Amino acid sequence: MDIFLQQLINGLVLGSVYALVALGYTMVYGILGLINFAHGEVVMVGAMVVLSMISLLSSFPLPLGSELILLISVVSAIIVCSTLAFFMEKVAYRPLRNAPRLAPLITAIGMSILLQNIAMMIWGRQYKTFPDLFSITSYDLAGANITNVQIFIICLSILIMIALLLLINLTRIGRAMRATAENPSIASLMGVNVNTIISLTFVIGAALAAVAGVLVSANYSVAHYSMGFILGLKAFTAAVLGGIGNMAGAMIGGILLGLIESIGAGYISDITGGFMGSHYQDVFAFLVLIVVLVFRPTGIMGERIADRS
Amino acid sequence: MTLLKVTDFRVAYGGIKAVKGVNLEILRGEIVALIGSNGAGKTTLLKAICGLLRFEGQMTFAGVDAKRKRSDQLVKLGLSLVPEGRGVFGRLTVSENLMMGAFLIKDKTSIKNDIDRIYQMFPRLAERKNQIAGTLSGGEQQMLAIGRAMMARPKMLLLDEPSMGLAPMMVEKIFHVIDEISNSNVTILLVEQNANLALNFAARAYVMDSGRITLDGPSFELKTDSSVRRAYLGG
Ligand SMILES: Nc1ncnc2c1ncn2[C@@H]1O[C@H](COP(=O)(O)OP(=O)(O)O)[C@@H](O)[C@H]1O
Ligand SMILES: [Mg+2]
Repeated sequence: MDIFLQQLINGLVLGSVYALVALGYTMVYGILGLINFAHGEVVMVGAMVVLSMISLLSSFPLPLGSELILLISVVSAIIVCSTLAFFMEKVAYRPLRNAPRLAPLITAIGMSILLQNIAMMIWGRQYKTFPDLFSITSYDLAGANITNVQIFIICLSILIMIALLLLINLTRIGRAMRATAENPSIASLMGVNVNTIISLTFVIGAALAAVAGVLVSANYSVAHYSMGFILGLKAFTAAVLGGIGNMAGAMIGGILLGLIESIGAGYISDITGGFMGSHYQDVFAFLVLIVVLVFRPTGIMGERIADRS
Repeated sequence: MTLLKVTDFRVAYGGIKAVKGVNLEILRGEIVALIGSNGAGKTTLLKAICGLLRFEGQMTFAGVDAKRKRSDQLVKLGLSLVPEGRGVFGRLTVSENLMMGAFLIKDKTSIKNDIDRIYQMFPRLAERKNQIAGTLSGGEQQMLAIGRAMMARPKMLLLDEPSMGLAPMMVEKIFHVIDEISNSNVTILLVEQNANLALNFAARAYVMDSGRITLDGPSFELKTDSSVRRAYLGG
């Protein structure tokens, strides 16, 4: 089996999920200058809602097809996550809009812990397994394996990202979002309701997070109330790597981080002479974070920080 | 008929009072200038009128009580600001900036016609329509800021120091366009530090000093007023 190609595939799958989550961080940062540390928990809630919905719908007496069950579950997760993010912004962040930057940051961390605890109360402490809605088929690709789930994850993520780029770059609302990110006061002088745009940003980010939650739990077949924390931190790393505030950067950063992590994990044992195994995979993400912050804090696509006042 | 009226208008930054009880009344179709030295409170006054800063006192616009209205609501009522320092969206293209100006206008063909009209007014913008606005020169950015404000089809245009930092040729061009705009039935409140320019352009003016209106009247009278000459016209 070709290890490199295999890790490339795994990295791409992981990276597409990071990219979807990183977009949420970067969009909110772009518009509010806030790092929404609770964003990872939105991903977790998405995964949990999908699991609950699938088991609920599967136990229905009337036979729904697997595709329909999945579709309804994912749509429910998107609705729940978007609503959650909408109120999170309104209740926790909006009152602090003009407060010193540390205040909303601490609130975000508090919100993250709060959501984890609420999720633990609702869904319990145990790992929840993703039901086998579809049989997993594995295909051979030049000596590496790729499953139908993995193909689905990569394709869906790419589709969503293209749709998002079209929305942001070609529509009236997307233009208003970019204008608001650049200068909220001037945007409001154009007739833009800045609060609506900010809510919309949270809602879109949460919808992407919900999808990412579904994809990541389908890929690993498990979900847990604490899964959002590390995932969120890594997606944040991806956003910083790409240049926080920059959407194309979040996509590139996400994919790149996924690749670095999984290729690193594939070879870490060789590099350290067997001293560290592939379960040290997480080390790479945070090494990347430190290296980027030290040597290129603006990330790959980032502009000068001085650009934003 | 009165278009904009502010009464006992006060604005503060925290404890610092920047506007201390201003009264203005501007009629439909007028061109009015507001002059005053740096730090007099002109920008603060305009920002508060446009809903960007909170104020105490009263304000009516187009017959509507405009106190506590957000900027986007005031734009809808027909009040547009060309902000100090232009405030173009530097990462958006010229044509995207213009389309932002028309954010509240739903009819696509009328937006297109308006954009064509702006390009006729400022052929330089037409040449650069797909260029990122941040790469324009100061004068071009001022043109864009004015064009963008006009895209909202305002009843009244507030201009905050449109001549700032521009070469005399460019100032002349900009003022020619402002004149054209005023001829198309748009009421204008022009803030200028360049008092000479403002008093020659506007029919009527207010003089602001340390957050208060100290004088007002027809421009020709102010031009001959000894205190105005000493303070703002260089003798
Ligand atoms: N954001 C701000 N915070 C505190 N004080 C300000 C702020 N902006 C302006 N000021 C003060 O308010 C006063 C009026 O400023 P401004 O309205 O910009 O005057 P002008 O436009 O006439 O030059 C000045 O004393 C200025 O220092
Ligand atoms: Mg000023």
